[in-house]
Amino acid sequence: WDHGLVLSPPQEPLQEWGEEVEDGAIYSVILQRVRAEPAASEGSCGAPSCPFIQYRTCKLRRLRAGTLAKLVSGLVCAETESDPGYVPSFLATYRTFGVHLGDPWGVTEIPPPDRAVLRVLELWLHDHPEDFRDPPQHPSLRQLHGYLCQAAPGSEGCRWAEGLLQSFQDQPGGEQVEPEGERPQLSPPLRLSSGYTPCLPGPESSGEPPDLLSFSVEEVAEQLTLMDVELFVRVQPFQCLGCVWSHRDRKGGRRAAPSVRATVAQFNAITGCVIASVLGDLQIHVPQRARRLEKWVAIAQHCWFLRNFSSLRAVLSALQSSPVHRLKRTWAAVSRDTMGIFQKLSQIFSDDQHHLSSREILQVREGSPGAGAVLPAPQARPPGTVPYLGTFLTDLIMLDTALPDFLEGGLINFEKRRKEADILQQIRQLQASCGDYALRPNAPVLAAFQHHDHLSEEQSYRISRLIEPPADSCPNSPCVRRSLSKRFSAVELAAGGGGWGCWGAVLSCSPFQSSPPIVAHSPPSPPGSCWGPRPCPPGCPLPRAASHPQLPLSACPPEEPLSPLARPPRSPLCSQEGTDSRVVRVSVDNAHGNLYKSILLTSQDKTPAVVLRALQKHGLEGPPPGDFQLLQRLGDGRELLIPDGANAFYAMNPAAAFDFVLRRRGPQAPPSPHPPRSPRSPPPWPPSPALLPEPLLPLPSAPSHPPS
Amino acid sequence: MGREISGPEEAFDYLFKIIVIGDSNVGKTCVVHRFKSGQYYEKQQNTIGVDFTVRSLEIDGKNVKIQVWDTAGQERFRTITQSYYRSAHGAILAYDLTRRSTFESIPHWIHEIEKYGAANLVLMLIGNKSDASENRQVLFEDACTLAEKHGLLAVLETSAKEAQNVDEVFTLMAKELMARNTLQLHGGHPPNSIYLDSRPVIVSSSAEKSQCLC
Repeated sequence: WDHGLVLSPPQEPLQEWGEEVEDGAIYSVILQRVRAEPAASEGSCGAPSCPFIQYRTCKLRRLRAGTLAKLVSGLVCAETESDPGYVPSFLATYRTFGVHLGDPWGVTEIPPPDRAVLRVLELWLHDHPEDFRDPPQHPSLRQLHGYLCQAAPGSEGCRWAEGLLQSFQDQPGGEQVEPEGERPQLSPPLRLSSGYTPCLPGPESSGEPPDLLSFSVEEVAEQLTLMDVELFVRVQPFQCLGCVWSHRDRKGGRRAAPSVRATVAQFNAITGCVIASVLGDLQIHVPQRARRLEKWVAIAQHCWFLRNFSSLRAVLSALQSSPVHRLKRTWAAVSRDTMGIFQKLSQIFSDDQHHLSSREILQVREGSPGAGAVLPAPQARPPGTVPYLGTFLTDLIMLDTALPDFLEGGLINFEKRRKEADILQQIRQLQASCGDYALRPNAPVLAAFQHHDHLSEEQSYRISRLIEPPADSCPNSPCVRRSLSKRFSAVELAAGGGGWGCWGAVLSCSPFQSSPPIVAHSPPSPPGSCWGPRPCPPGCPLPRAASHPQLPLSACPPEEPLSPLARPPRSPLCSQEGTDSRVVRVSVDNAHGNLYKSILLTSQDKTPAVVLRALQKHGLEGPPPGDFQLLQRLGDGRELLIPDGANAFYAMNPAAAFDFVLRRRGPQAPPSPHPPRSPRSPPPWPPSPALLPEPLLPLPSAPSHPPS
Repeated sequence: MGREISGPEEAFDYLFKIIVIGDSNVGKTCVVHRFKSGQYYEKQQNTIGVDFTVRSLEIDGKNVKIQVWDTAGQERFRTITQSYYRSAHGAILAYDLTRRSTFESIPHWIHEIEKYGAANLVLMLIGNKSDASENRQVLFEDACTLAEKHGLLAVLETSAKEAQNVDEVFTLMAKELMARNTLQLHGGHPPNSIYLDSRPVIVSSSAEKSQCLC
């Protein structure tokens, strides 16, 4: 914030004092402790020898919400003197609450050339010149210029307006600087190619620019930074606001936020370059490909030296993208030093604590930055910082989501705008820092970047698998896994009579189900049953899957249609491993009787044990199990009572669905109402839905870098 | 390998990372926000962010920490989400039930996950904006059919606006992940030591390394 009109940030508030509500406005009131200036001996008190310090407490009001009229009048009211953030926040965000530049001065009476008015106009012109661009005539700016020349001739604002008008007119055709469309359109030496033909390995023809990686690490990183700086300083912070950026894909939003789109397009162009340069040539061997990875890591590191977090993130994210990341043999050939650097750099963007490390790095202007302890420090500190814009965009969208635009009574929630303006302010500060980069275009490098091959995602994926084919023996490749999946659908279960139709849930249990569905705290598996943990030697990918590829659950409805993909034939549960256990669904017949739990029923289970276990699963540990009887639902409203002394496993009807209900003895509980199934009334969700656990697949770990 | 995940915060038995994906403007962030009921943290004077990405739940007596990755606003940075897919345990696919096109994109998102996600990622489908069902363009049955076709864990219709079904989405996901994870720990360790060293995410990392990344 280099503007002289803005005061230093307020001190920590001493005390939140409350709220004051006026007609059309809400203020938050804080008590602030300030140093009392001795009136007489000014200047002496700041000295260390000052014998006497006095503080006083003053009451400050900050406009928190208000009508549009209140917010506008707040710009020039005396109170904002003590609220230095007010005017900048207003100017940075006013478009979100519907003030349109266009005729703020013309129709209504012209305000007197009062100091506060001039101050606001100057700040506006200085900090948000793009607001006044309205080619070809820029009528608002002309009007404002006329007003300032008349009201405050010779003032700073008057000169700024004149200069701005001149610079707008000097731009050919009053053209918008912001590019349209996806690809950034830069000034001629930087213009990126808009179309490229992905080319699989092919010999370089002599007329083509040299390979980007034939240039030095420094040259590439500097040119990437040059482009990023150019795009970043053109970003209009306002376009990053959640309510603007998040509407980019809406109808009519196609032209929204072009300055932000341009940075995104550049980011994607870089990731495309990196991926294509690593994958593009099928002929090269592992060591050569590994050298390419090393070179890109070195370029990323140099971007870090240049404090260019945008390209740094782009290169890292390309190296971490699936087609590159999965090249294990190539990564294994990368030097250990490079891997160390790569990991350190990746940690900058770790998502831990909301990207705290990357945020802190943006803040740090002195001393050694976060990862600097391990990464060699740059020789000379770069003058600026180019951030990765995505973090700001996410923050702003979250902020926009979290806070309402209006408070009760339709007052504009200005507190929200202050918070947004704080983030925009960070962006502006970083933009200002970028003015000091002194990088010169290097045409051959830029040309190599522009003409670099790009691969579509699909192509990258395919080529990557050509370079290092997936282990075909691996049975948990997604397609196999998905196609083997077994599911329950609400539709089908509704027919089962469990009141499922009103749920709005489809549960599935997936393949490789060497265990029947038992939730976490199931009883240990009985010997010989098909359920039970089996040791899985590390490194053996799903041994069970191969040996027991199909174990559909008995609860799957018989009329389940076969999917086009190969679906294993239905078979009784665990038929391949023995018939001494099965999974049954048990619901409780009560007011909310649509909740069922899956439990394992073994051939050892007597009815009371089943009742007890089902009650525990339902969290009903209060009533004695003896109060309940167990019934199997046979469809058509018929039920089979499982006698108390029976072995439930053998007493049940194996031909029917394994669908049970617990019902209190005594007066027959009325059947639970089954509300009509209607897609228009979203169904209530039961408090603790039944779960069918998935097989014993290892969970993925969180590698932030390729395996070394 | 084991990254510091939580910082010096309270202990937890499980940590699950869940990614929320779907077209822009389907209300992903609203759903996440509802789940966590957004809080602000103001760390330094000029570092402001919104913290609604981590929430602890108690499920079956276990402290389950759910970290939700919401890359709202970064969808257009193409490669950014890929590394999230890889490290996530579960994915929530969101569509807007008042906009058919967002539902029609779901197969595309599933395809993305199949390509880039871990093989055993748990997938759930949510149709958001059920409060606006008078403008419904996607029948719940259609969502069920889709979920069945692709083997998803569940389909729910949610209303972030009215806080309907939102917690259930995450609870359901967490329970499923717990169930899998518990079984997995059973598989790798003697039963008695299940929770002694119970940071499943880290525990499983060595095993994952040796899996194929196809």
